[in-house]
Amino acid sequence: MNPQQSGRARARAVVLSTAAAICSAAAAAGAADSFVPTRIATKPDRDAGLQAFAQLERVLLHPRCVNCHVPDAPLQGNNSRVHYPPIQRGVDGRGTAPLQCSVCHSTQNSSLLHAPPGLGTDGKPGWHMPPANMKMSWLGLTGPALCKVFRDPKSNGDRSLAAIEQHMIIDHLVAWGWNPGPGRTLPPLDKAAFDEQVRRWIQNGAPCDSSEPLRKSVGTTRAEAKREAQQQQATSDRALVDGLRALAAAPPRTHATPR
Amino acid sequence: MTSFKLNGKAVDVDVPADTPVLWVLRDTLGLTGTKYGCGIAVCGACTVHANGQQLRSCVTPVSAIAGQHITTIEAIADDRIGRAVQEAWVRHDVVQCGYCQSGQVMSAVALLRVKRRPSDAEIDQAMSANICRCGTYARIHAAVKDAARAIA
Repeated sequence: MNPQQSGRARARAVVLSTAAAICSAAAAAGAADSFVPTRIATKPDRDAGLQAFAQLERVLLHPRCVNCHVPDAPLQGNNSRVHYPPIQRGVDGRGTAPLQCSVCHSTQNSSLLHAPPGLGTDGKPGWHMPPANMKMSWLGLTGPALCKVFRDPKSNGDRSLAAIEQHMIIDHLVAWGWNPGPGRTLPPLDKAAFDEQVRRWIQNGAPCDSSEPLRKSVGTTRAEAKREAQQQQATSDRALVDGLRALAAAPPRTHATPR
Repeated sequence: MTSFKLNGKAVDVDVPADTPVLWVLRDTLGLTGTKYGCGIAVCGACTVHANGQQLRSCVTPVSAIAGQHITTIEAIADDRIGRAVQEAWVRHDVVQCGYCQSGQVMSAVALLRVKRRPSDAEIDQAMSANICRCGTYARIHAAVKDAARAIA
């Protein structure tokens, strides 16, 4: 095989099946609709919750997660070095033109060592950081400080506990951390164990330290919140229609004839 | 079969969906202006535009560009910005060996499409994703500035 053929073979080996990426994104969308959040136990165990978060923390601080959960520019690789090229987050977390994430991060992982990873969202490049208005940065944080940034809707992308669980368990970019392509280390827990620790932390009141009150409600998932908003809108629309019908059925008003 | 527009013309290619765009351009369609450099999206030699945004064609499966408008170096001078960059490249005699230069030009055009008057720092940042083994960076920088002045 000459160098050009070898190059072609390597390059041809770059990509896996896009169909698989599209299917996984579609499966994630279906899973989002049917996702049932874990509820808080009637007798939550704070120590068990704190132990569960200690396990989650090991994953959250792993380069597969923390490389994009940073103040501004992303990091890169197993030792979280400065990203090449010097990409910036941008408003939507997808880079700043003309250097967007999707210039290099395609719809799927490359099979080649050191090539940029990728994943597809509805068949399009889906690689991104958190957006500028919600950076979800926990670089440099550990323990309770990290836990509170992770749990607080003001710093976690406006997520309730139910929405955090949904994001951790079914989001395809989170799941990418366990399918990162060649040469990238895996988080210290496997995905099933990670999911289990997420549930355990929430079941036990989502504690971050030894003193604050435990959480009593997990709130709504994004799908539930959307359904509730739609129901409220439908109720409001029905009331408006009923009002108009009542108005139409009422006897016509007549003006008094002036004498 | 994957369909897209290449330099303004509709094309259909019957290749496996995971074939990198670079090999479709070079082998299937015979446009060899776009170069194979590192093969892992690091050097920028394989840069093309997809719907006006730059794209590393060596790591992009052809299935990902279905329905998009692809522009390669062969057609970059078809619009005002591309022509200005090409002319600036010639004025500054940027090219040495030339292997990386089609990618450099594509990246320069992508920059000037979104920033008509880029600062020195913006030029350095945008062009930092393209590597030149001959070290023509100073001439590349000057040519981008010159092209920006030409389209102002």
